Amino acid sequence: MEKWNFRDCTIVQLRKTFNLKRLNSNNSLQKWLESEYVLSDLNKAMLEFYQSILLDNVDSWNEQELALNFIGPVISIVGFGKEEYFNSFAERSFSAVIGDIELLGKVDGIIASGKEEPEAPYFCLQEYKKETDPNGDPKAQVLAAMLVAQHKNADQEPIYGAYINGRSWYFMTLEGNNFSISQQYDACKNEIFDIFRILNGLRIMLEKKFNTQNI
Amino acid sequence: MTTTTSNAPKESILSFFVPTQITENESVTESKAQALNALNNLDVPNTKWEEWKYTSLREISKREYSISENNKSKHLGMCNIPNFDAHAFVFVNGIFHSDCLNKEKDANLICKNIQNLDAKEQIIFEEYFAKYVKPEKDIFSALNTAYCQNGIFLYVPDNVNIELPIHIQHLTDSEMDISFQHRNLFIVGKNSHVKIVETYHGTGNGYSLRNAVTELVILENGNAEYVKVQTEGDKSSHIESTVISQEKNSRSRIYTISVKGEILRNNLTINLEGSNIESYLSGAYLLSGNQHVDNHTEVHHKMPHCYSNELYKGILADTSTGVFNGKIHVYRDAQKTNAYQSNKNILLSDEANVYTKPQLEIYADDVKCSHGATTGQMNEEALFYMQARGIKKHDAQKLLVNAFATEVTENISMEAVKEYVNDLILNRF
Repeated sequence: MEKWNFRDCTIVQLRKTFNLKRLNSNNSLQKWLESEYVLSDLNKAMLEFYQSILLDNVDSWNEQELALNFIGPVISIVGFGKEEYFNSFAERSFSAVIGDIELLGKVDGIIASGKEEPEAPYFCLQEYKKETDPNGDPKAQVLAAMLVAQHKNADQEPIYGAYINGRSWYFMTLEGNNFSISQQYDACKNEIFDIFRILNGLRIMLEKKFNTQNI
Repeated sequence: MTTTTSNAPKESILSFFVPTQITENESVTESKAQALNALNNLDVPNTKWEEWKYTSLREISKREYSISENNKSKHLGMCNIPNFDAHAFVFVNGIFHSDCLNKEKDANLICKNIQNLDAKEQIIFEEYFAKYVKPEKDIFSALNTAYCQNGIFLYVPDNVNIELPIHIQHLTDSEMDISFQHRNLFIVGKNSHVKIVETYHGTGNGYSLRNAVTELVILENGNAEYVKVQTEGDKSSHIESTVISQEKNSRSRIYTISVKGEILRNNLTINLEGSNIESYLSGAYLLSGNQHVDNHTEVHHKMPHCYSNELYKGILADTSTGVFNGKIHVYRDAQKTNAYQSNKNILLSDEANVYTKPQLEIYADDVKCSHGATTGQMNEEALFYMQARGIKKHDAQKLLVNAFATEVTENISMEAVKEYVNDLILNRF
């Protein structure tokens, strides 16, 4: 059996092997990007604080520093760990055998069920890269992880994802064999509030899902 | 009202603005004559008047301002907005100083000091001048109409999109106590679009008193964005009346940002004269020391299917005082009106005061209107949350103030101006 590490995957390879189709947009991505959330003054103040740190350092941070000093704090303001049904995890090993290929690797960020460790259903996978000279193709890496999540989940719900290149955020969804990638959102600009709104959109979506399904 | 209390300040106030030698501009004699006539019957407002209940002119009237004659300054640089490309006009101590009009960009634009109009421009000027303010009801508007010699006449013909914004810079720089007036008349033609920024700056040790009037007329389907930034000296007082008249399908966005000054009184009246008009009024006042800012707004919905949205936010420290008095008047014919008004305040000290009075007067029965006001302290839980994440208390307070106030500025379309204003807000306390 072939083993493919996430970090070595390419979009072309994944698309051909798993019969994926890239759409400019799909319903789940559109709905996610259009999520509404009213920013509190505290949210805004915190985001502007972390944005000022990002502006000063984004060109010199490596991947870990970016995650530690910016992405982590922003995700913690969103508060994915507040509900008992889902949590945010980092640097967890993740794998599945799909057909005759084992996809495996470590994912920079996962939002999933589970308390001590991520469990199915998995909701959102994230890949982080530094601003300059990133190694590997982050969108392929996150798509590979999303394929694993889709395989492990029992339901047919869309899988959400994001990849971050320094200041630039991109959001993705995988629905069946179709995947879509958003335009760039620049965290050094006012788009940081859109990023926060979109992340909150996911949190609210998950909260609603659990409150109605009572999983 | 008693004559004994009002007459004394009236003489003072008149002496601040009535020149000893008058050079009549023949073409506006009729308007001026009416204003002069009105002056005989008008009194200086005092705190017994409902509209001036919290703003006393007593201290101002005790001073001995003399009419400004000097427009020289070495501090013109302080009027610049970084990275802002605009047609620029400079007034020092109320007197026209210089301009920089880029005719290559906007050949159709007429924008001049009101003293320098040619015959053709004078005809347009006369058609609109003093048709919107009410000199017969307000002594300051009457004084301004009768005696003001400086200010900007802006005329955008029909179907013109003015590419560069207009930046009118006012600098007060005096070691003496001086008074002065300025008068703006802005006409935005049908289907035309313009952006105007007016900034006020101050330096020098003298007290100053400005009496300003602006009339902005937006004709059918016109669009205007008007940003006013008051960052004057601690000894500068400013009484201003702005009257905006909008015709059908027009749109306006008005911003009033008050950051510095001794006593600032901003009267803003918007008349929605046609249907399908949109008006956005936004204001922020960030006060410290003994500053006093009084914003009086009136929105008159006269015709159906119009929309207005008003948001004013105040942050008050030390012993400063803020006043917000906002009235929405929906006339009987103004069905399907949507009108919203909100005033929110944060007090940073126990001695700061804010008086807020949102008012709705509705005579139509099919409308959506709301108003509201809040006043509170800085959110201690938010401060604690931020401090727990390693942010110093003072920085946390600055960031929270900034987050609160910048809701007002977020729709300013000129990025350089927005950045300039946001910097003023961020570094205010």
